[in-house]
Amino acid sequence: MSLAIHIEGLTKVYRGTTALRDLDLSIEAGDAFGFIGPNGAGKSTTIKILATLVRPSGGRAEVCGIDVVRRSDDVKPLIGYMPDVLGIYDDMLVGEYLEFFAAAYRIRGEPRRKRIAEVLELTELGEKRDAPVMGLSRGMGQRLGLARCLLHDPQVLLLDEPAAGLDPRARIEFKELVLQLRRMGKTLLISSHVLSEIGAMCNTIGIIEQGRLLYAGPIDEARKKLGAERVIRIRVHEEGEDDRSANAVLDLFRGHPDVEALKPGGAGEVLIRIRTDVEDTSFLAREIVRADLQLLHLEETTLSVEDIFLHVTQGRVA
Amino acid sequence: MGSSVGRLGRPFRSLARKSAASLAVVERDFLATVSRSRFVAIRTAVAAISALVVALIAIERSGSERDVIGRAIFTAAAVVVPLLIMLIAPATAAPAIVSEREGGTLSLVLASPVSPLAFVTAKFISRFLAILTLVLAMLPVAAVSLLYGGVPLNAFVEVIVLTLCFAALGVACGILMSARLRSVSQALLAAYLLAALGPVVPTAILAAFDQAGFGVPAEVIIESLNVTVAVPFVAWFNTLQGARSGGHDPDLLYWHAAVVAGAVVIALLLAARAVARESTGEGLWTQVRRFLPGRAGRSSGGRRSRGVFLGHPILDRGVRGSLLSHPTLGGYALPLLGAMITAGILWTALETLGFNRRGELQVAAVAGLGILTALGVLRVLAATSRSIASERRRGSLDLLLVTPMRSEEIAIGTLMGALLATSPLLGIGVLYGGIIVAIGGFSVPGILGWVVISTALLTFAGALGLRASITARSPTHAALRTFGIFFGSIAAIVLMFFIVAITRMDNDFLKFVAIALPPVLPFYGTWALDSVSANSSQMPGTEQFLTVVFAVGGYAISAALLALRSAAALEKSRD
Ligand SMILES: Nc1ncnc2c1ncn2[C@@H]1O[C@H](COP(=O)(O)OP(=O)(O)O)[C@@H](O)[C@H]1O
Ligand SMILES: [Mg+2]
Repeated sequence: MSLAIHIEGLTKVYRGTTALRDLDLSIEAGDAFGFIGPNGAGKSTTIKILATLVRPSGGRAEVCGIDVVRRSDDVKPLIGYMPDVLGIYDDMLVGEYLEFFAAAYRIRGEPRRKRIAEVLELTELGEKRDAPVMGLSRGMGQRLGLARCLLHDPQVLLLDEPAAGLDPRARIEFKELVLQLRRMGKTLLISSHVLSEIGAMCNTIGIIEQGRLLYAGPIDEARKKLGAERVIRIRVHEEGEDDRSANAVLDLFRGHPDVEALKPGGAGEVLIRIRTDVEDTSFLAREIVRADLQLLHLEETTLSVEDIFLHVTQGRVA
Repeated sequence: MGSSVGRLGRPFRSLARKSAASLAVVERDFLATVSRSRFVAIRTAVAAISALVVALIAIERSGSERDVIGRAIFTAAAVVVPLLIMLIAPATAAPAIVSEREGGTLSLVLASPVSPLAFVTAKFISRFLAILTLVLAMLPVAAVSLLYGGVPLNAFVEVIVLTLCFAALGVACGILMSARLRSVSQALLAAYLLAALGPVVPTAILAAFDQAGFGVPAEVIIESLNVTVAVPFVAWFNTLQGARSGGHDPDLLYWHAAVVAGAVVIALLLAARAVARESTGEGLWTQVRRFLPGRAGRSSGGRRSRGVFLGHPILDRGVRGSLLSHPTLGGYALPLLGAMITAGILWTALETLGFNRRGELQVAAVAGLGILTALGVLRVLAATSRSIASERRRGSLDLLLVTPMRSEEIAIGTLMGALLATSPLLGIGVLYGGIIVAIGGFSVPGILGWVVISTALLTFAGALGLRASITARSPTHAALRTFGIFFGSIAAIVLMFFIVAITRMDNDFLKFVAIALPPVLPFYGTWALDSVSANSSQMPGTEQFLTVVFAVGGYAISAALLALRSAAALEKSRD
């Protein structure tokens, strides 16, 4: 399989601060790669180097086999870049914004009109064509950013923290869009500082901290290897003892298709492990209400980056 | 009614009670303004250039025609100093409150015992003091006319009082708009509009009546203007006339000062009300603004998305971004109106007030074109300095840099866009110059020369702004830098006072030194070209030709180099 992105020994030093140290990374064509790391880890720097916006201090980076430094003009048509800020002109309408960037990508005349209509349809912004860019919600702004990225039909999409600040509904819509792009054969690099935010959209992930790649590989493997699990803590109110309320919940969800395992957590609590591919956990609350139980507490404890780091670094030490 | 009087009275009482607190604001604000290195640099430059010019003229002071030269210098100073102050005062005041609001410190100040009126008054005083220092720095230059003689001392004093009236009016308008509007550039344009339009509209209407043949007597025009804020303009003419004829009317001037003081008080009360309403909901103005086009409340309703018409996206955006916005349209309506009215006033002066000496009319005409050039420079600098810096702030610069566009394309497209968006000012200048030609105070080659040299100067200014924008840390930083450039160049524009003295210099070398100072070139070039067509023997043909070639060539080459260096700087921002 061919590599969409290939990075070797990449180093970046901003006056004094080392953002990247000797980073190696390969992403295969057609993959959706989740690039995870805390703030300041070097995600944006890596993405900007790939987008030809930042010159690396050392090492090599290629997009579809083309060096991003020496042949940046050839790389530009291949990539769609979405920064971690929206980059929106407040005096433009949605249609004008896309016209402007289509012109910047030297798409002219009839093809431009057609292409804009296509990306508007893909991102479901067709009705917003004459709306001011300023008034868009965060989710719609994000989709407009994606529409802009897609104007010149690039092979590789570099999305910097696209899911940050999206509400659950917008995140699900965004995930649908990403899945559709994968079906179209695009390669995606999606960064985030929270795994749960983008976990469901990606098939491979990489974990970066302090400019170093700690782990890279398929997400399922990572979850297994790291013991990653989504656990939900539930407590319901029931007259009498704690055990009885716990049992009521255990009975309710035992054998549920989306539940992988469950066990009492003590003090009337139940811990429920959800299957990794299940995004929507609202069914838990629904079922409890339907069973006429009084929900006291429901908390999702997702595997945080910090947990993963702990696992990864422990693995190293051991 | 009674309650509204009570409401207006309350701030006064609180002002008295809290004057100690507001003194702290004056002191902090004044010191902050004055201690900026830009501020010190400009004052020093003005003083240094004044000294240089005084030295040049002292060397040149020939025996003959001393009265004539003295009066000519005085007339030029009496035209230029108030105009400059009119230009600078709103600019100094416009950021005063907006920037506090942007920085989030306004609510901190308002939460303190300082009342809104005390706050705006303190802002007014500190900015007025800052302008005062500039007036003082320019005084020695104007005082040269006293060295030559032919000018009564009280005419000189009148010009100072008049200038201070303009300063107070301009600062008050700036403060008022700063209190009511959301951004510095909006506040600046609105302040110019208010400071210049308020006085000018009544004049225009009366002058139009006069021109239409209703035969309004000059006294009626002047008397009716006395009750408007237009008085500084009337006083101005009065003083200019008085300087020539020796007769003048000091009572009129005091009346004028009183009217201006009243206007300042009203502006400050309105500003205080606007600031006070900040926390308590929507003011009247905000409600009115909703109905104006291009405002925050704008819905997509009437507008359809448009394509890119001007071929290149950056160029298209540069032109439309600044041409179609509401404040900008106002920004061109004002100079157009101002130029037309100035032409009308010159016309009226020629007809009714006996202001018929071609030489003085020419000074006025060239000064008018000079003001338009200065406005153009201001606009181009504002547009270019904002351009890249704000793209960077917004995060959209990266979006441009990942497209196949070259950095030269982005740099030059931005520059061209700003120039095209400013070109209406050149059209206004041509219109204005045409009227002056019709009156007989100017020539066609003079106007063409002005267009050519101004275009070169605007390109140069735009390239400077662009470079500042690319290398600046933030849009505010870029704006400060470029306004620094502009106000710095004012130091050299002060030399315009001496345009008459320069043309009469015998020493060719000194003359060349005086002319070669960049901002003087457009005015001098215009003057030079005009004198060719007027068959004047003021200077030989090759010298005029060289002046224009020097100006155009120098600016054009510098602009090209700067634009290329800007593109390189843009490229370098990848490191
Ligand atoms: N333009 C810059 N100048 C100096 N330091 C920078 C610059 N950009 C990023 N850095 C530093 O590089 C490191 C990595 O930043 P970044 O790539 O933005 O991290 P992330 O996107 O993972 O949050 C941080 O320590 C940051 O402070
Ligand atoms: Mg980042």
